[in-house]
Amino acid sequence: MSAPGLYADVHRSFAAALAHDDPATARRNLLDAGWLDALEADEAMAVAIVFRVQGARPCHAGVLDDVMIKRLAPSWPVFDQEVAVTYPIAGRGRSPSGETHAVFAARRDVSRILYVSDTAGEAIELLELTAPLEGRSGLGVEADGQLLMLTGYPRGTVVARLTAEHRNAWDEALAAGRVALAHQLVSSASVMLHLAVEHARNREQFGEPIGAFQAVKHRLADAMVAISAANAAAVAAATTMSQTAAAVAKALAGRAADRAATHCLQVLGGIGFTAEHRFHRYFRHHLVLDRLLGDHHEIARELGGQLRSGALDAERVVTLADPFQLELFETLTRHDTP
Amino acid sequence: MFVGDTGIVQLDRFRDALCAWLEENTGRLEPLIPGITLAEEVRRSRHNQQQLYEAGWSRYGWDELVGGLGGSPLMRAVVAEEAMIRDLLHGSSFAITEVVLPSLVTAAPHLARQYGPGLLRGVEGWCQGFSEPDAGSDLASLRCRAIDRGDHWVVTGQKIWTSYAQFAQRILLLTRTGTPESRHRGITAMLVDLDTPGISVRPLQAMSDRPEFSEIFFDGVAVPKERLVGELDGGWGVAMNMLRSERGGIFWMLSASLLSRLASLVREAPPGPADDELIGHCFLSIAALRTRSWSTQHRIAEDSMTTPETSIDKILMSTAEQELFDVALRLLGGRIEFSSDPDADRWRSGYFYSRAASIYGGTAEIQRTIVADQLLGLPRSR
Repeated sequence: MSAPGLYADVHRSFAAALAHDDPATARRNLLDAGWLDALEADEAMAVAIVFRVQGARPCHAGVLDDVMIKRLAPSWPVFDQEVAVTYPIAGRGRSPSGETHAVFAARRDVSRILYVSDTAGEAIELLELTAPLEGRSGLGVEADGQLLMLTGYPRGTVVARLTAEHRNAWDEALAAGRVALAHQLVSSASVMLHLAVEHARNREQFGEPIGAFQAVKHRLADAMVAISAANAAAVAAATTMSQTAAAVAKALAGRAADRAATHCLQVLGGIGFTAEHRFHRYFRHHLVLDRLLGDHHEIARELGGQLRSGALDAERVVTLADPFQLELFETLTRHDTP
Repeated sequence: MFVGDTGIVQLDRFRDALCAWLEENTGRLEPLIPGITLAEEVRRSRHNQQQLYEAGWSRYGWDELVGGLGGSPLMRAVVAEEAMIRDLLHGSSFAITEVVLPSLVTAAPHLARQYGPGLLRGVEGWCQGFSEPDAGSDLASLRCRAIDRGDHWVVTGQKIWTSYAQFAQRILLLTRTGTPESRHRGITAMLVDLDTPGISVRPLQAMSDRPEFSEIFFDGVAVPKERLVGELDGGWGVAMNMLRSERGGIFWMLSASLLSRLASLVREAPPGPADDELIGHCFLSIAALRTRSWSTQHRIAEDSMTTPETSIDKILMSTAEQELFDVALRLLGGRIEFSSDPDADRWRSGYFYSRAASIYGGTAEIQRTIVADQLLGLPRSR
């Protein structure tokens, strides 16, 4: 089968699998559709497609856990797919109810969790749960029951601790997770742009479509420019898999989604602000995605510190010798383009 | 050489060999150090181009027609990138090779054969005669007239903001051959020698205190018919192809140069932890240009990139360049405004030149309109 045909087939099959409102069911469907095999066989393609489908729906089937664990498992062989990852929420000022971590609701039935204190990988533990995972869903902007918020250290016993010798593995896991989230942010931002462009073509004021006004055109063009850069950065990072390229991809995607959310809501106007228009679901979704594994300002600070220390003096992010997969790029762009 | 068993150019090997040569041959290269004039920068840049040509490096990726050795056009971008970060090229003056030569090879092979090698070797400089006093962003309204006199044209009119025309020997000129109302349909491109009688070039001092461009007057200038580039009245297509080339390898080279400028800024004016977010965001903006340009280089090489899509690259370029020099203005803490030593002068001319990045080569506004109309399909303004 030709590559473009393969990509389109995988896309169709993963999109069908994720078209279920219950996250645990969506995850089961995705596993049945061969997600883990695809991740093993062609990570760049599998991750790009699954995370873009998630961003376009929007939903979370807990696949970020699979991507991270794939990187940790070889050097720290205590894993199987029944481990869920807890994602730290670096809040300033504690909420009275004490939310510290997010877990994907699709993974609520697991027996083991990877407790990640912070994204720097300072204290990471594998826990065997002694009681069902307790967490609350529907908190904050997340309204679809896709996330569970943990309010304290889960009840369980420590099976293993990540030590200094696994630090590289954690850095790789973080990079892989950031690339995956970058893809999801890019497609969520693309849907926002798509909704705003449709609206600008059809909505008439002063006797013409508002998309004919230059002030409107330029906002939407800015959103497209940011999304296009983030798209290329995600594909580049998936190719090089360097930590810097992954950080760049996640931050540019968060920045692009932020820009798209602002400009697209402004163009959608009153209807975009309502709960009946589906725009708000993507707006909420991008806020969650940006926070996971470091938001774009946090990553900018991280990169700034590295610049000051001289660690990025010879950094080129990507070189022309890094191979470019035209077919994959074009498939992704085609699915994302308004 | 540098071509693997699969017939694919091994760019990493090519780059390594090039870098080794650059290390070994620093003695014959003349870097563009701070404190020299623009004319001296252009002279050094051409000298270095000659060295790169004679050693073969800058011939890779070019058609044999212009003295090239063949291979992937990506090789050209690699050479430009490595030479640029070592301050061996004057970016904007060197850029003309990338802008004009690919179009000339396809649209006028006879001219490419005759004159291309001189440009590629750095023996000659060329310039790009597009803008006019009344035709900036609205390029299709240009009026510089070429009248058919049988075996030659007679050109009369004016060009303006022509980068580095005062250092150039030839100009790729867009002329009006159709009716004044024919817009993009009645434009013809031709390659004209700047020493032809009737041409006067007047350098314009820019706000950077440097003569970055010129105005050119054409008073009954005779141009032989063989200097036609592309078809009669087909100059718009030639110009669009040139814009696409301009946003290819040159932006790649620029992205490397901006990364190295940011690193040197951080060394020269050490920021504190409070500046981390500022410099980190600047790094991100340059990385946005660079990763986009990476995909653009590959897509141009595989002929799957349209000209309107390159407007995205242009916007990313001007954003990144201006952000870098905004950060420089802040971190240098007054040196750009109050000092006149070679390093301060260099930062200052870079700062001023970056202000023009959202104006030259199509303004930020026209680029956004192209993105909105041609890529997003928004309705045209009435």
